[in-house]
Amino acid sequence: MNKLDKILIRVQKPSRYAGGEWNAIKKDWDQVSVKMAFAFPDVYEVGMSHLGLQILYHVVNKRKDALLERVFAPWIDMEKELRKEKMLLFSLESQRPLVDFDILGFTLQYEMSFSNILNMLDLAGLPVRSAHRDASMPLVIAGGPCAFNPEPLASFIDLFVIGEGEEVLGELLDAFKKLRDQGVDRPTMLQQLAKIPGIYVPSLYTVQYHDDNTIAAVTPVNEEVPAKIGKRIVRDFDNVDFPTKPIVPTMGVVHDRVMVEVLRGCTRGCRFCQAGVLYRPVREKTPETLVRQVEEMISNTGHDEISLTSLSTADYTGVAPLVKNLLDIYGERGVNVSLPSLRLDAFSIDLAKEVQKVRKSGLTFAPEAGSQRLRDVINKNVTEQNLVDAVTSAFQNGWSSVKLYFMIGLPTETYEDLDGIVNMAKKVVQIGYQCGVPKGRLKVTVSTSSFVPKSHTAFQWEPQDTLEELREKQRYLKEKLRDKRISYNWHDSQTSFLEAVFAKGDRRLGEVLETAWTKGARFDGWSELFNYRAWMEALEQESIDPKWYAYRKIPYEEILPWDHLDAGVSKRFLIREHKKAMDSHPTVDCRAGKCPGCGLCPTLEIKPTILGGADIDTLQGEI
Amino acid sequence: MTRYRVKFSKDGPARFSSHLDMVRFFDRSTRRAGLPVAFSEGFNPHPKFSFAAPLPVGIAGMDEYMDMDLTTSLNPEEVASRLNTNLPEGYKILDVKQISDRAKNLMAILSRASYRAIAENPQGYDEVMLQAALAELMALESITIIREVKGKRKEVDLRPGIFRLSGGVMGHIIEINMELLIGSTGNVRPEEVLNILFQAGGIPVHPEDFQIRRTALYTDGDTGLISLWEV
Repeated sequence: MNKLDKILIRVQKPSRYAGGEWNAIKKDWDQVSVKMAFAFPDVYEVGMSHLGLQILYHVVNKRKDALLERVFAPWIDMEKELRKEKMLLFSLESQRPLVDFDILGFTLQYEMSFSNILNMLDLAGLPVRSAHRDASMPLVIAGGPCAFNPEPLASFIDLFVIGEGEEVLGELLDAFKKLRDQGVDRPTMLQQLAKIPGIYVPSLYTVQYHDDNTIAAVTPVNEEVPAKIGKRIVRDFDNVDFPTKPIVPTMGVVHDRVMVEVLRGCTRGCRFCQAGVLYRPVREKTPETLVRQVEEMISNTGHDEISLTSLSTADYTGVAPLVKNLLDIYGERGVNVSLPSLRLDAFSIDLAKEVQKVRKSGLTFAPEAGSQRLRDVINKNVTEQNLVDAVTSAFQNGWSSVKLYFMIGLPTETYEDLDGIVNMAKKVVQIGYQCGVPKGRLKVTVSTSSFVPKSHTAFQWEPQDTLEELREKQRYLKEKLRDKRISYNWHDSQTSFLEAVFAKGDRRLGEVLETAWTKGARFDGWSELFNYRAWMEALEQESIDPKWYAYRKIPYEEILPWDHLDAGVSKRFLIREHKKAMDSHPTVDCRAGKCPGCGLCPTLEIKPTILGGADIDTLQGEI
Repeated sequence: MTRYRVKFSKDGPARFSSHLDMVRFFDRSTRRAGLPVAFSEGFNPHPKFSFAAPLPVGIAGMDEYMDMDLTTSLNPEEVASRLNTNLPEGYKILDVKQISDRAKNLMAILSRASYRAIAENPQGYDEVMLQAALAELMALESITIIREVKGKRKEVDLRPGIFRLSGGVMGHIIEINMELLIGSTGNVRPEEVLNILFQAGGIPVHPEDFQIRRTALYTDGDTGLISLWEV
């Protein structure tokens, strides 16, 4: 009986590490030139719900000369067993140690998974710092949304992929193969790879600081390295490779269904939203492509649910006919259609009605802020009337429970805005009664998360509320929302605080990260394992003041740690947006045909792809 | 509606899947195979599958059973081959036959299971010692253990549920075969027997170090045990 089998009997949920899933690809190791492992710094159930993993798995494995295998962060029980048995962290497909791979690629979905990256490198038997690794060890790369401010990871990751990975990953593999076969050393390899557009090699940039800790300059170490790295985007989104044979997980995962990406990007321009900037411009797939991809995916997986995913699916131009069409085709085959996010309007309710004909589970809306003033500040263009109409329609159509998502601690927020949240919740209860929802079944859930300022957004200069302020606001809401029909839950403010520190962090936080990890920080996004004390001790030990990162209002002129990583939206536009926010002025959605001048289209020489929509005449040049 | 009895095995990575995960696999596999599985009525329709007995996570099954209702009648060989080409790694359909839709429920008729446990034999332990340990256990009148069920501790006598023990030491391998009670009247788990052999019987192999396979499932027939396949 081998060691792994023995370990698997002892851990919880051994399927997490067993592999062997339907559609998993196990290639002949010796027949493949470039071996890459995709490392997801969270558990299997979370990682296998991530569409990006499935996309890149397909993109790499479709090449004859390359393979991509998966590895997830082992849960603490598995970590203990691996360390006890002196086993190295291994991939699921071939169960080979990660050190056997040429490239190890991490996805950065969430700042609170950074400690898991260090832990996985260590479990793999690799030095955590790039400087201590050489060409005999895997090249460690990372991509995903947090790669847009990767500075806290600059000492650990050899290179970052900025933007969408489908195309640039291929270029990277080609270049890697060539350089490796030439037998170059690691510094030469990195110097060459840095020439690929969208590749950021942090060791090729020096950061200088002023005495007040602000950044004086970020400078490339030589002339061959670009001063600014622009993000990569897929230009022909309708024709880009999409995995229609996704891996079917062996155990229940967070999103256990066929995920078809109907569009990428979002035009709404909420000022707190980083994804809205990173994934611009909006690109919609044609309905023909979608129907074909869904059919292939259903027959290749046997899933009984299709999720139409994107940042805002209800905005897809042909969403109603698409949903109807899919229901016509799959309804009688017992396959459901689901929409992950709903807009606050009656149209969305009609859609939800279509897809939830039988079982009416709850509906979720995200007004984000409690007052019209504050919604104008954040550019969340919904009105109270929209909410009233939407919930009225929902209650009339048989739903009895509604969830409302808000953010607290948004810039300019006062207690009047919190009262707005309370009033909204109570109003929804009232509407429920008026619509005749049975008393015992009516339920309104209010959830608040805490605002975390993110890079590349109009709120990147904004401070976060202090822990005390956030807790006081949570207490206030808890008190005011005391009602049998309303339940209130909120996010842990300490987690949000650290998230803000790292979201806006610079390279000096790398020391803190390493120290916190050695003190036992793991799975910081999991409340049961979040070890705030370890982090506070690490910050103290490295003489870093977290408040300086999270609570400081940053002047526009200051060089930001991520200024050399370009998401395509101009800084001037963000400044203008920030100023408009402070004056409570909303900005129009470019989907309506009027370009607000974010600068992305001219910079990247692209246009939004909106089916049958207005051809947006994008403003040229710097606004 | 036509009912089929499906005989299958679950080994390799599949032995780490829970019973619930396996039920979901079969739902997906039958969908991929395009088999016209009958569904239950109601708000949350589920496929009409019924299994003989859940396999504990980590234990392989070489002779497992599932009954399945299809809305149209298909040739059993075709059901087997379509399923076989759509199962994930570790699962194999061994045989399929049509049965009466009045056939008794698998779970209700199941009464006994055979297990084979193998491990590396520690140096100095031999056949004679093993046979003595097995005979000693079988000679006991009762074997009381404490089981924890939903937080409550309960005394259980395992002895009546242990029907047969045999084994051997072959080179560096130790093998123990067990025939144990399973089903609606009670259940003796192979790890429990191995644990007694380890704790009291002097077999120097920890239960976790055995690789366990369930090798057969039986029902009580008029003249003795009958495989679920022969019912």
